[in-house]
Amino acid sequence: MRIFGLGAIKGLVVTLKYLFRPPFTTQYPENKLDISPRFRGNNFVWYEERCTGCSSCAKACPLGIIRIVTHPESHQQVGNDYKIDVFEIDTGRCMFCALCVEACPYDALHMGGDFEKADYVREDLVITTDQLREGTKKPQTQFRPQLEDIGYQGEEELDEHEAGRWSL
Amino acid sequence: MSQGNESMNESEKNIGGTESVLLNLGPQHPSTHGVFRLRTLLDGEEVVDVEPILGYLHRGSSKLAEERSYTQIITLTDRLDYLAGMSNNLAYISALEKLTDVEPPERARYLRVIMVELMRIASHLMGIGFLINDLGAWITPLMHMFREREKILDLFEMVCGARITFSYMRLGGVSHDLPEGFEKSIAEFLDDFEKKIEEYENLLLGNEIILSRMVGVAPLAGERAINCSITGPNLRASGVDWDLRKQDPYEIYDQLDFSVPLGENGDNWDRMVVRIEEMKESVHILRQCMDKLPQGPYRADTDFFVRPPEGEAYGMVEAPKGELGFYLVSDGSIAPYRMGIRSPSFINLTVLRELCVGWKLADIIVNFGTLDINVGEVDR
Amino acid sequence: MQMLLFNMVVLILVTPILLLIYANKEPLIQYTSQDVFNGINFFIGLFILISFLLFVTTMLTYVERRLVARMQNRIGPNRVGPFGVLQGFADLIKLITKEDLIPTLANRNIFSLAPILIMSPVLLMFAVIPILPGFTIADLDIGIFYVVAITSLGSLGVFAAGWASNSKYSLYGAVRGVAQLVSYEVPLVLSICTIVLLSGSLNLIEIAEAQEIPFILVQPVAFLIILFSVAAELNRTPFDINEADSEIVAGFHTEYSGTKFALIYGTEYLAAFGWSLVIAILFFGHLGPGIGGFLMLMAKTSIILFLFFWFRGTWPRVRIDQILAIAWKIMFPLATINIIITAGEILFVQSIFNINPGNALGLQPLAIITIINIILFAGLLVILSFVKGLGQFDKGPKRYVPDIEGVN
Repeated sequence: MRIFGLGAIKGLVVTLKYLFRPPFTTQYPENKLDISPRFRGNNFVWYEERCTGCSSCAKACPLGIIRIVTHPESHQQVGNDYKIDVFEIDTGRCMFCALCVEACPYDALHMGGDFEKADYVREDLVITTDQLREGTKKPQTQFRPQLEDIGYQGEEELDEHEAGRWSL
Repeated sequence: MSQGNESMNESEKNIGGTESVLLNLGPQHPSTHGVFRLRTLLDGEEVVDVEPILGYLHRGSSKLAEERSYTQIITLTDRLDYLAGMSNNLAYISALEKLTDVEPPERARYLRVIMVELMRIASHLMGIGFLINDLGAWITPLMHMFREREKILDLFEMVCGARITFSYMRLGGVSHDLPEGFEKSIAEFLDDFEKKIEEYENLLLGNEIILSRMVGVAPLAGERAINCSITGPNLRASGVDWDLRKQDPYEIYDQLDFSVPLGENGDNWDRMVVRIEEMKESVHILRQCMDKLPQGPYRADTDFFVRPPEGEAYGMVEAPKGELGFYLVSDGSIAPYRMGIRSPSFINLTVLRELCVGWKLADIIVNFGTLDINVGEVDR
Repeated sequence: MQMLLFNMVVLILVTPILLLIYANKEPLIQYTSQDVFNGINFFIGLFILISFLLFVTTMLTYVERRLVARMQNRIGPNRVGPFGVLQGFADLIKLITKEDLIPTLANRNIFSLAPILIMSPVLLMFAVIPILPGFTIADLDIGIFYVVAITSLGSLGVFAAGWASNSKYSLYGAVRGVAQLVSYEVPLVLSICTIVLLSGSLNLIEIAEAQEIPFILVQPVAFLIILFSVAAELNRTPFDINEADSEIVAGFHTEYSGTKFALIYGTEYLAAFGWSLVIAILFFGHLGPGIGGFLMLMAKTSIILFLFFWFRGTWPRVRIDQILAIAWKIMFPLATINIIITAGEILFVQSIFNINPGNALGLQPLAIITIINIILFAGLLVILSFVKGLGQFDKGPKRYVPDIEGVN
């Protein structure tokens, strides 16, 4: 048999217990949650030295937001390593699915771990070639099992030799 | 029919000498679970007519799929029912695997089931949380459920790097193997979650107010539910034993031991309790999967731009909200000729009018909440 | 309709002021020997009281948000000032500096008048409440009667707000609000009558002084009825149907913004504070002397306020037909039976202890009534457990199907 009011009081006890527990949420700008090493952030890590300009990433992108222009003179040279003039990613439209990272055969493009990017103008969200060249090189381990194998946690900077499956 | 700033005495039907009121619930309304509009005709507080008006969140997923390669479509499926992205991925991939005859390795099947069952818990948490919020609780149960969902999303982030839009399943497997420490994290979560379910039951199931608001309200007979092709927890709440995991086992569900919770008379109470019971079953399934998880490859060797043979295939799974099906027609190119989606949320809406007419205005919101639709999936 | 409403409004605003002036042929503040404000004149006292009320109102919004946030595993407002204590003032400044929007088709006069109508009865209610011992603006002999009478005027403001907004959500909120407020007046007044019977006075201070045993123990049923009736009067969970955010957006104040919204929103907390004070005085024992008594009274008030916040943080709301059913089918009969039983008990103890009618009951008679009432209360809970819709729930379908062409 149930006593009238007991069920409602049980609910009150649950909330009262939580009144004396520390909150689950964190105060964001001061305290940040740990992100996993595979986290797909809203920046990219690109190693120009590893990139051959093959445009696999641009082809894999569901939205077609990666723009690659290779230098015409480099097309004459022997081998398949093109010099890259433009490598732009329009993160204003990017959905961070990491298909480009999955498609990259040379481990040149990696996901980054930042999640704080806001701008007033849409054009500012385009990651330009210079930004990709000079940005911090902290790749995430998304689709990069070789980084997980060496125990990399997405915290240090890696150079172009360490980030790929083989060093250049 | 006009609306807005005109006289509020505008009459649609004259009932017993009083005039009925046309009230638009939505598209901007606190409890329509997205951008959704309910055109309701009210006689005082009593509901005379309800008409759901859809399309505010239409993104043309089917059409977009026709110009994307099969792998790229996975990103579209994340955004259908954005509270259950993994289930959508699995439904699409199961259609694609039928089309291409690719067999995923055993480990991949287990990983898929683990992810889908975690997703089911997360989706049901949101369904119940928002339902209680619709009942008028000042977001406390919702926040308690958000907390547990957050832990599930952390698990997903460990595995695939995203919290909502996973894009985790791939043709012939999954995109990532489990990371280091996942087994420990999920075991901790499951142990904790069982206690939390007890706490939810204390918070919700005994409460006289919730009981009086939900028991016996808007019952749906099993036969009627079948005729309206309702699926998922809503159908099972009406006492119909139909779960694709049992009836048409996909992946590894035939090797797992679980039961399908059933309701009695399909009222709001049953629809809520069935979801809570399903979460318990999901915990049970997850424990079995983690115990049995085999070693081996997690992904078959497939092309990124896969070209399936000409033909068509229909793949369906038991998504948290019901039977989710993907119908793919291939013409041999890298993109499907046509992709059709059978979304449970949309089809479950067919009974909304029937459930609401004759009840009170406040019951519309609760009936709508117990159906647990997701507008992303309704409008596609 | 407009003129009628307007006339009623003016009449209602003027009457209590006249009443106050008539009732107090002596100076408005009753100075006593223990009066901490002894010698300060009336206007300074009034200024202090109103400042105190505004301060409490703004702080209560913060306290509620903070408490409920912790019940919800959240941190709550913690940005403005230390621990966010100034959040209420920041909100107030923000609301006051907002643009004052009036919907095009709203009735401008009544729309602007409604927040004042909602606020003023609540402010007037504090005239008789002895916040500080010996410090009341008007120490009326009919104090509790005045409180009930003046606060019931708030429903007019609610209806005016909902009607003038020219929005269907507002209209629904207003109609619900009036139905609910009118219904809950009845059990509230009946339960207060039992307290009056026990204490033999309508004066709030005398009621407090009559409590040899706190009346919460003597009259648990009356306490619960008053608590939930007040929750209904204040539109607080589980009876917040007239501003039910998940159903009718914000009910009668859907269209309000800026200063007008601040008035309505503040009134909600001010009324909660006022009624908590009244309940604390009615049920929680003597008023102490001096600053200590003031702090004790605030502590008792905080308990009631915390109950309201706690309910809001835990429970969902009840449907409109259930709310009216609770008022008329459960609370009203209960309150009536409670009055009869209490009257019988008082006659009984008076005959046993040879107390003359009109004299205050002593400790022992009250103790006997307490024991009887607590036993009756336990029995009541058991009886209610068998009532369908309260303790027992029918699983069978009970569906209403309107007999209209074209439906079903």
